This record gives sequence, structure tokens and C-alpha cells, in this order.
Amino acid sequence: MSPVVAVANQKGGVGKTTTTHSLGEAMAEQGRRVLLVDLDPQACLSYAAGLDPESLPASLHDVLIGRDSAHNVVVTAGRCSILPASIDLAGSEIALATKVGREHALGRALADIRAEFDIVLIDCPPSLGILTINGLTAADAVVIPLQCETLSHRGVGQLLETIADVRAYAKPDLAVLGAIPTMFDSRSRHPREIAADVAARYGLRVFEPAVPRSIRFAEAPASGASILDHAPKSRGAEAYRELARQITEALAP
Amino acid sequence: MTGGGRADGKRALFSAAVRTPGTLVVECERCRGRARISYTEFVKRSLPVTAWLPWRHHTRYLRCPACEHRAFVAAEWFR
Repeated sequence: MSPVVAVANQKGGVGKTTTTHSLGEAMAEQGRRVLLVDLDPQACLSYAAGLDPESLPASLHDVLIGRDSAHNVVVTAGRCSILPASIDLAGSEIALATKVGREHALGRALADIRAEFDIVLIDCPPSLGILTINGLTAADAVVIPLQCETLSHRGVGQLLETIADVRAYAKPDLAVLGAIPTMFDSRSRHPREIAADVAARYGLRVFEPAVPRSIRFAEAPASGASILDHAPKSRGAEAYRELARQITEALAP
Repeated sequence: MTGGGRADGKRALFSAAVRTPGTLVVECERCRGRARISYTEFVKRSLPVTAWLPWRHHTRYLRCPACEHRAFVAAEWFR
């Protein structure tokens, strides 16, 4: 069965969407069939992949509430397939709240479709709610984008507590692959110290290379493409290609 | 967060987190998912065909609330 990886961090603005999109495109470039799942009602991943969330006939919300199947909602964007989000997804939190096995709604939806792909990447919302718990419960492993600033410690610690709860109450064998340093400024010593401290404090693998801070990442979504197409020879694109290789290796049985 | 507040938060996020009268937690042998269901739901999910193999860890055969497949589950009555 193809592995499902959640890209999660309860802190916002750390590069979850960029990491999901770029890793997905890099894995697809390396010959894998990739499904991206946009679990954030802000639909930034869908937008970054070149879709207009406002004009989609159906979204992940319809799948989660059982109105449509994942097969019917998946669309192709770039080299990947995507289960897109729309603002309707905010209503899924309420719709799922009273459902039996509400933590497993996304896992059930993906069960129908994951065999068609080599890997599934989930872009989790930057908050702790039923959608994020669904993302973590549906996943086999978690990757944590880490902006190397002091407040990131708190975000990582909170996420690891949440992962411990997911293991205790919903998915006992959820693995943590490690953290990906994002928006990394190699000219300063502080980000290196933060990355080393997170590795030591939480016993997390911190992937290398770090993803450098670059204006190219900000420009890419406007063109509906990932950094791999927008600036294919940039250090950011090369970093994600290498990270995609390492994550694929880490997931190999 | 207070202890009560933390329990409220966990109850909102995880059905299996907080014990509620008239419910039990099931863990599926097939998908390894855990979920809390009511006794009534437990009976409904056991229909029309069920089995009880008390020498196994996953003793009951019913439709799993996590993956919705028929599978053996461990029923944790007092959790």
C-alpha cells in the first residue's frame, strides 16, 4: 500500500504548503505517481497548483461528508494529482463533529484511491482541529516543516504532543520522519543553532539540506507552478529534489 | 490549560479520548484505528453476522467504525 505522509505543524507560516507542493512535484519528477491532499480550508495548495478553488465543482469537503467519492474529485495539476480544498472545508469540522469514527474520515476516503498512487502527501491546516487530526490519523508518517526561529520550538513541542495523542487514541503506529528546516538563512548562526537544538531536544531527525529563504518561493504560486518549474535550477528546487529522495528512502519498506 | 479544559479539548478532537457512559473503544485488527462507539452502535455494527473468539486479542467480528470494513476488533469496555 502506498505510504501517506502528513506535512504538519500547528504553527502557521512555516512553509507547509510550499513543502507539500514542492516535495510532491519533486517526487513526481523522479517518476512517482503523487497525490496531494489539500486539507486546509484556505485552499492555498490548490491555488498554488494552479486551480481556482472558487470554481471547483467539488472539493475534499464533499468527500469527507460522503457526498462524493475521492475518485470523482481528484484533478490533475502539474505532474501531480490533487484532492483540492475550498472554503467549504471549514464546514467539514462541524459536519464531522458528531460522526462515529470522525478522526478516520480522511483515512476512509483515501483508502479508495491510495492504491493508484506511489505516495500521498497531505497539507495539514495550521491549527489543531478535527481536520488536522484527520490528516494525522490518515497518515503513516509525519514530516514537520520547521522555520528556524525561537518560537518554532513551541510549535514542534505542541505538534509532538498532538502526535502522542493521535498514537494513544486513534493511530498507534504513526511515525515521525523528521523536520525540514525551511526559509533557512545560512548567513546567520541562529537558524543553525535552532535546528541543532530541535534535533537534540526532541530527538528528531533534521533533514539536510535546509530549504533556503528565497523570493522565488513567493513568486511561484502566482504562476500556478512549484519552485521546480518556476526556478528549476534554484537552490530551493535542488533542496526539495534531494529532500524528496531522502523521504522516499526513509519510507521504503 | 486546566485539567478540565484539556479533557474538553481532547474530547472534541478524539472520540476515544474521554470515557463517556454507555460507550466503549474498539481497535481494529485490520486498520489499527481506534474509535469510541455507543453500545447500540456496537450491536448495530455486529449485525447481521458476528463472531466472538475469546482466545484472540481482537475478539469480536464486526464492521469497524474507522475503516468501515468487517474485521476483528478489540473491544475495550472500561476505557
